[in-house]
Amino acid sequence: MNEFSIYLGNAGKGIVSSVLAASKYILAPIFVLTALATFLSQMEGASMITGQIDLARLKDNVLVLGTLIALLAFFRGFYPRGSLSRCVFGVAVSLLVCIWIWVIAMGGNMTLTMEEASFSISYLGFVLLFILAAALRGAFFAAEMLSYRKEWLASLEPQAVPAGSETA
Amino acid sequence: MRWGLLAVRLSIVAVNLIIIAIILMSVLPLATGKVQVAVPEDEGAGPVMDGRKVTMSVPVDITNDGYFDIEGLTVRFKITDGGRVLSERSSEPVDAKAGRINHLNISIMMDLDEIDEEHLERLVFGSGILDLDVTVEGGYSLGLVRASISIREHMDWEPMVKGVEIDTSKVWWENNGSNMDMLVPYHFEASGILRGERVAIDAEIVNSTSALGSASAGIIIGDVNDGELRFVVPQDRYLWLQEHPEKLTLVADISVMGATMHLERPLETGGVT
Repeated sequence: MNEFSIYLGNAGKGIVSSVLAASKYILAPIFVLTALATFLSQMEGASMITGQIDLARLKDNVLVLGTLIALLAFFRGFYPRGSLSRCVFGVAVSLLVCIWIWVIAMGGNMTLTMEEASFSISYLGFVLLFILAAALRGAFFAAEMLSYRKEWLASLEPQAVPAGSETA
Repeated sequence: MRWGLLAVRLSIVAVNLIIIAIILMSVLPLATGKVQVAVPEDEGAGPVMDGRKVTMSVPVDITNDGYFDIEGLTVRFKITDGGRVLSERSSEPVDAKAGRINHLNISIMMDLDEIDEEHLERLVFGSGILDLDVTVEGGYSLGLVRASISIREHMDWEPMVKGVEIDTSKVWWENNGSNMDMLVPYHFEASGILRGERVAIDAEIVNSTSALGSASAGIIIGDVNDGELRFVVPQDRYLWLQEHPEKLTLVADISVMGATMHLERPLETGGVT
């Protein structure tokens, strides 16, 4: 049995999963980054900050990684619970989300240098906690597959025909 | 009930709740001004000298009404003179405990033995502009966040010993019985930090060929720092000078804390009484 067969899935559920992922990992962060860029552009002397953070590049990274997440999220939602395919795509999405968090958090370090001052902040601990939460989500898909596996395999078995129901 | 699945799901919820709680408990006190730093006025003690070490203490009041301690708060400073590092020190890490006003005394020590002679002389006797890099660093949110702020400032440096004057226009003579003493007044001003330090003055009066006499003086720095250099001149040289005025030079080395300043002053002997 091919667990990655397209005949096993549900396109509607896949689209819902993909749209939710796109909202969370593309639309919302792009909106926040755009609002931040607009806010900073109106602030006097903030061009030095925007130049160092490079919001445009951050947006590009969010767009690329977010698109990949949304694409894989489609297949995660598409395949049913208990299938290896849903587990694989779920874990893959979680891995990408971990990378996404690392990229958007700029590796947990930010340094801003101005003429006579510099500001540096390290929030690696927070970033690792977020990554832990995302990794647990990957573990959840593995646990979900093990939990639903028997039921799903049973659902694939041909239904037994009750005795005496045969018609002449 | 799928217990395994429920356990993983609860773990995810717990981690997310912990993250949200830490962020809220970290950001809210900062946003609502519950963490404040103030340097009390009129409480700053000046630099204190202990042997060859200068210690500067800055009292800081940190009001931490947040939920987390500010950990390992350190102040680092670096003094450079035209790119050359004169001193680089870091204060001992201190913690500002949550839920109270922390009176901290951040002290910075500068060891004069670490400064080479040329720059020590510049610090003791010279003025100028030094670059001061101050970095304040500390951890917050259970150590999950660590921030540092560095500020570079130009610092006007006042000489620790200034206005050194050996007044060769006010020379007078005293007969000490067998010889004549030539007395030359000197005066200098010193920073309060040097109070109690010893200044040594070694001087010589020379003409173009030889030394006429020498004098040494030691003075403990106080409010008024003046005195006279006493040069013992043989009677015959004194009489010869009275009849043959010539241009002499007073050469002096003024030493304090291992730094030495060299001075030369012309000395007219004609007309002295």
